[in-house]
Amino acid sequence: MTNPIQSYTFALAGNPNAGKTTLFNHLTGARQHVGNYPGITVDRKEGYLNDNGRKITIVDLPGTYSLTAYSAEELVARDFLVNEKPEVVINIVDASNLERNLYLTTQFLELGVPLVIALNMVDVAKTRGITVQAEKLEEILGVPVVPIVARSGLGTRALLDAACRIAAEGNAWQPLDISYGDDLDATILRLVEVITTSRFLTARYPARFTAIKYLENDEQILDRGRDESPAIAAELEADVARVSQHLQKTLNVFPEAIIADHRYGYLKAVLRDGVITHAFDVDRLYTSDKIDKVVTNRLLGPLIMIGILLGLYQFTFSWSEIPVVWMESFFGWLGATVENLLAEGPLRSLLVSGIIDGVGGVLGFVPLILFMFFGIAVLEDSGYLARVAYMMDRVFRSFGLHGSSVMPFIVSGGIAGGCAVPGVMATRTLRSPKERMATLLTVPFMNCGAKLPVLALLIGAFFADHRALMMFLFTMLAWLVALCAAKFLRLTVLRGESTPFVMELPPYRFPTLRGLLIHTWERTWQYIKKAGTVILAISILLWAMMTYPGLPDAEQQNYTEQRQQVMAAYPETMDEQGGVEAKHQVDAVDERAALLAAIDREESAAALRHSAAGRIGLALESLSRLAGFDWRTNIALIGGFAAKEVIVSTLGTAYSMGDVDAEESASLSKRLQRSDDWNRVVAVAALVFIMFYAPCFVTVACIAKESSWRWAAFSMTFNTIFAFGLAVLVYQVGTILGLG
Amino acid sequence: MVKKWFGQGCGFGRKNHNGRCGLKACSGVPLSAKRTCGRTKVCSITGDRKHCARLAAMGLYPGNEIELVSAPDGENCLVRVHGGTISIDRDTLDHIVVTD
Ligand SMILES: Nc1nc2c(ncn2[C@@H]2O[C@H](COP(=O)(O)OP(=O)(O)OP(=O)(O)O)[C@@H](O)[C@H]2O)c(=O)[nH]1
Ligand SMILES: [Mg+2]
Repeated sequence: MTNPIQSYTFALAGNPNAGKTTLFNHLTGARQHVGNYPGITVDRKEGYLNDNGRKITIVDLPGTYSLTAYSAEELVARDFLVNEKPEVVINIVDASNLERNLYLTTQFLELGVPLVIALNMVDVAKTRGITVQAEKLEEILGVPVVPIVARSGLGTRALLDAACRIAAEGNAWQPLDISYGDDLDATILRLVEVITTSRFLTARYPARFTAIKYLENDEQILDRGRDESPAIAAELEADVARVSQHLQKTLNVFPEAIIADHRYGYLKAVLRDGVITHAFDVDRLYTSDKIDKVVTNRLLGPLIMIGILLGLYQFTFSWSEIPVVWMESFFGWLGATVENLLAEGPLRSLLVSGIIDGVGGVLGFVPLILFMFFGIAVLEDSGYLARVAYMMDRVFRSFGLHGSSVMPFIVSGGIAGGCAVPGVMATRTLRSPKERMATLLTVPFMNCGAKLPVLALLIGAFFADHRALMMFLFTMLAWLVALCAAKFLRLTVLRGESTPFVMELPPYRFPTLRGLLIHTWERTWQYIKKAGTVILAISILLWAMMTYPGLPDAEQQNYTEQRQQVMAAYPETMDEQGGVEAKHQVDAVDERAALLAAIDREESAAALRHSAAGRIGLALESLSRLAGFDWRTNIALIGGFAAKEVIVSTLGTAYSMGDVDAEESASLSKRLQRSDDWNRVVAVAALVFIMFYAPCFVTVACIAKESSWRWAAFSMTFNTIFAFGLAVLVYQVGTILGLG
Repeated sequence: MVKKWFGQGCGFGRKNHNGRCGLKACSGVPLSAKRTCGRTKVCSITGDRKHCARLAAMGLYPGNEIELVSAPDGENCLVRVHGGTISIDRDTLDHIVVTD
């Protein structure tokens, strides 16, 4: 006899920041984003695992504080539970903060879902002197309670076993009854009777659960009820309205406050029974709160924040300097090798100028990106970013944004080196549509990882002595512009009230090296992957645009003739004679080589001018000169519409092909320093333009997906016009002041 | 703008800040006016009903004890409640009345 293959679905639910995704990753081997910040997961994620022949689907749900439909995350979580009816709900609770976390548990119990409690972070609880008697809690609540450390995987075996056992039992849902005081209990009984006799919504929710949600004024359930049976819904609503009014008159509260009070009261009673013991005084402030007193201090806080940013940039630039040079020389060597191995022709040009220069130019900055991401991972995992959100809320509010906008800004590169695509997605945590749109449209102004190479290049070339400071100033500029743009949007097209911002601050945690490395590597890998796919394709396209159409035959003939003339004037043969003769001949050979190289360069410059990209660049030059950009820069900026990464490599190609006076091959930064078309003012104008013009294609597509194509188009045109205006202003003022 | 959001009045407490709240009578001041850290008790919370309900789920409801980690003094502040630390913006602080 063979066993049929068992397959179960387990849902991971719990408060924000309780460690659901950490456990999910541990169980399924997935690499979903984990961070010490509440509300990282905004959508449900599925993963699979094979456990002793059982096929288990694990679903990671967004964190919630309750099961009432107050926000999108709560709806996602509750809808999954009642619609998909997973075999087991694994409720992850933070053992170091049990009371708050079990609040949600009471609602799972009321819903009656088959529950297993994963008592997470017992390591943190221990350092705080908190011991939780799991067996005792299990006995009182009547569901398995398994202590685990999701970070290290401790106890997850026992957790899976407990969940499988519950799943195998396959018991029907058994709701728990909690008393809500005489007034409400009587009402609930009345409502339950009506609900059970008419089988009202009972296919989805237990009767008592529906009754409580009616009292809590849960909009989704009220709507569902009206759809199912308007008459019964009206009857229930009338009853609830009567009770609500009575409560307001006598106690001046709505039912949900009383319900919350009783749930917390129920938990207090549960925990008092020797479930939890504190080694230290319960009232003492934890280390986290003590640190917060300093770090979020009104005066010290912002200073510390600035200090941390400057330190991060200093660290990134100084540590990445040497590896970046290594990468540069590696790609230089690779290009030279390919050039020597292959005969001249379109293939060699494609490989060297298109692929190696294009992709290599992006990959060359991997060390810089790596160090920046490492620093940001430290800030995120330690819990400091949540404090930044808290401090920035005041500032953001005055610009019409919201405390929840801070995280999308930082994800997009608020500290430098993020990506606007996940930033745009992260705006889902904003509840107010107008604040969300204002955030979504301004996050692309941040200095994402793709803009970092341009910043590093131009700052390195023109402000070599103050790199960290300049990086800091450009970051501040990005924020200033983004905030002003947001204010402008909120005063015009997105007018509306501001909404409250209440957030639970995660405790400070020591980041684990493993966690940091995973974070850093994940994001760096994204960058590398993009270089190998999107950037590769765009580089090839740009190469083609910069190569074709080629020079007409007549002109090519012209250059060939010039070359022949030089060769005729300096014959190649050398006599084996010493003395003055020989010296003279060596000079002649040098001169010949120099003349030939000059002709080559002139030809490639002419070819670039003749190519499709060159023509566009030249055509735009009359306009772009207002901001100080020459035609070669224009080519790079056009490439940047597709992806900002290609700006540096395109600039490199355009300057190596189009540079007529270059003595010998030199790095791009040297070339720009020497070029007549560049100086400090042009560099700043170019940076300003690059930072603020149209978002890259992928971001535009993402904006369209998250809002509409009209907003995406708006973002492209608005940003480009605005950025150009600003660049012109910088260039003109800078030139008048003679700063170049 | 902000007024509009809170204006609907969820009814947790009376507007004159001196009414009954929770299950006992108490008089108090808005949390935003507090100048000192330390323990205090919530008297009433006014504002949008949904927002009040969210606050209640996080442990901020009339009758409950809270601890101020930083003094609000007209700005946003940090509050410890039920073992967690919550940051509250200043508009919400205006609508939470606590014992003096
Ligand atoms: N010390 C310790 N830290 C943990 C443990 N489990 C998770 N963490 C940390 O807790 C933080 C939050 O973890 P997440 O897995 O992102 O939490 P989440 O529940 O998915 O959070 P949201 O998606 O925001 O709802 C991270 O910094 C984790 O490293 C644990 O067992 N011990
Ligand atoms: Mg998560």
